[in-house]
Amino acid sequence: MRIRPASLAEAYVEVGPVRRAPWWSPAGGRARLRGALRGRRLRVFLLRWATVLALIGVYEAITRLFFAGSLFLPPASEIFTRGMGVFVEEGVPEALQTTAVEYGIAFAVATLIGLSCGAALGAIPGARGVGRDLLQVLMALPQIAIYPIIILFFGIGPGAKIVFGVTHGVFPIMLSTMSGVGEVEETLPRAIRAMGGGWVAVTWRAVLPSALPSVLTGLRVGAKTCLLGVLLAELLSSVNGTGALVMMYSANGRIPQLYALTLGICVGAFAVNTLMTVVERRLTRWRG
Amino acid sequence: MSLFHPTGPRVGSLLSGSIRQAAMTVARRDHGTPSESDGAPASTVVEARTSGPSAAPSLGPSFRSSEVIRVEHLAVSYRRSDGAEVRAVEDVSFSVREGEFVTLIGPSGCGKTSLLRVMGGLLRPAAGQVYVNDVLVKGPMPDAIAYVFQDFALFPWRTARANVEIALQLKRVPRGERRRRALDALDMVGLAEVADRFPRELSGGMQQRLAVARALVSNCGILLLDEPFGALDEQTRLVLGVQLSQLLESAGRTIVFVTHSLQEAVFLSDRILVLSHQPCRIKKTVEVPLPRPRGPDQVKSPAGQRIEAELFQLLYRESLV
Repeated sequence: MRIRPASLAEAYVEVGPVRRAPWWSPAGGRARLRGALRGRRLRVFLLRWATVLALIGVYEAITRLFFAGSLFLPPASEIFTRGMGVFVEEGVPEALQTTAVEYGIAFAVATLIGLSCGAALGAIPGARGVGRDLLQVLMALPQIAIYPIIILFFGIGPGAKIVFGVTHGVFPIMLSTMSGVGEVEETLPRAIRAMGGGWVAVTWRAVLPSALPSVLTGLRVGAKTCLLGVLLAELLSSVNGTGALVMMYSANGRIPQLYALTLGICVGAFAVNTLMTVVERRLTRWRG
Repeated sequence: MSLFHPTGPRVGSLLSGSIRQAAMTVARRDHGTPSESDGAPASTVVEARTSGPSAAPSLGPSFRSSEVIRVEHLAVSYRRSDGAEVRAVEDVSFSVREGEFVTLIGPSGCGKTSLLRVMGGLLRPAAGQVYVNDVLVKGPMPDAIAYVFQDFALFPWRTARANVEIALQLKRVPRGERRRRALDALDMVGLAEVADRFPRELSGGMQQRLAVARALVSNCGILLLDEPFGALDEQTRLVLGVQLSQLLESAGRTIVFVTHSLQEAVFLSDRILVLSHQPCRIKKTVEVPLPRPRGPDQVKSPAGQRIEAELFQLLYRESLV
């Protein structure tokens, strides 16, 4: 037995959005597939990839028509046929792996420092304003300027690369964690306290979930800038890793291979970004 | 099963329930949810209520034992951003009997919310003390007091059921019992079917009922409601007011309610404390001897209108100052 809706608006909400079977269940999977083939999403999907293919075609046409025989602008077809071989050349998989490992370490360290320092700054009311100003100045600086100093301290080995990745990745994470923790509405911690929760419950059940969307956005941005830092370090000075390889191919004039490698880096960055976006969307589904 | 009139299709018939119907509803609910065992049988409280608060004289020594809340010479101050100290509440004393519905009414910004927060142990008073069940309030008392906040304070990342459950989670109630009691409470406010929705997917009125369900689930004897209808439109307020009064009458709880709506105050209360502008003092205590259960009929009755007019006079003069 239940009460009738009090108003039209309420009636609408009660009939409200239909629950769908989850995507991983057979029925849900079929429904998603059917919907995808029929609906707007398929059109978006097709349009997206058609655009990519079209751009590749335009590039191919331009290079063939206006830059035929040019050393520095190989047509797309040549990049795919000759250049892709680079990924099985000796030393290349190892270089990619080196970069991936160093990037992983740098991002983990940046996350650790960014989350802890950001949460601490956000939790202290007085520190928030100062912290924000300072971080914004630090983020605006071209960090490339301090790279020579980093080399002084860490040499040109993996140490410098990781440190440079950390300095690039840590500030976005710290800034967004700080604002996420700092801007928690007062009402939710108060409700927790009224229901008998201590500071652990307030932190765990009110502050952290409130800050999560902002933190995840920071992590996504930080993942990108961290990779930027690692690659920059490799391009500038390193003797191994993907960036060093890119420099080598450029110097040696193996242009299709250079393009293929660059494309590979882009695909890697894209994959990281997609992963972060998916995680972000999964964890904050309640926002709708 | 819902506590609200089971067959009443519309507000009109919802209001016409007789005392016997109310008592029956109570009895049925007691069958349905054996976990809802308050100290006193709810039905006797309903009878006590309908005999009218006018029958019970205020604050005699013989009534001491049934006073569940005692506020003594309470003062609250806060520091403004320019550093000046402002007295929000000054020398307020009153007490609330068991099962009584007391409303605090006053001009906006007069310190009603501060007063309520001190009673809930969420704010430290500058002077004076509050006793709940003869225990000095030093902090939140989640076993005795449940709070409904002005803006509902729902957790947007929790479903309706999880929003109710958190009150039990913080008391370390085991998962199975938690779930069952949460569903019972949601059922009581008519939200059982939307238990798995997020607050964002609920209308304002449903969010408000969700907040009430969360306050009811922990079986506290005392409910503090801080302008629970403040954020709602007029029709929803009316309907929810009717539902709330029926729900609370049968639940037999002691209630302190903050509002600035005169009609709501007359409709819901046994006793109304009219507060003055800052610093907030008790200007007058108005008894509401209207029979229960009430509907708009009682509020529109000459007696009800007289009380509302008196409140208006008191508050109007207050706002002019």
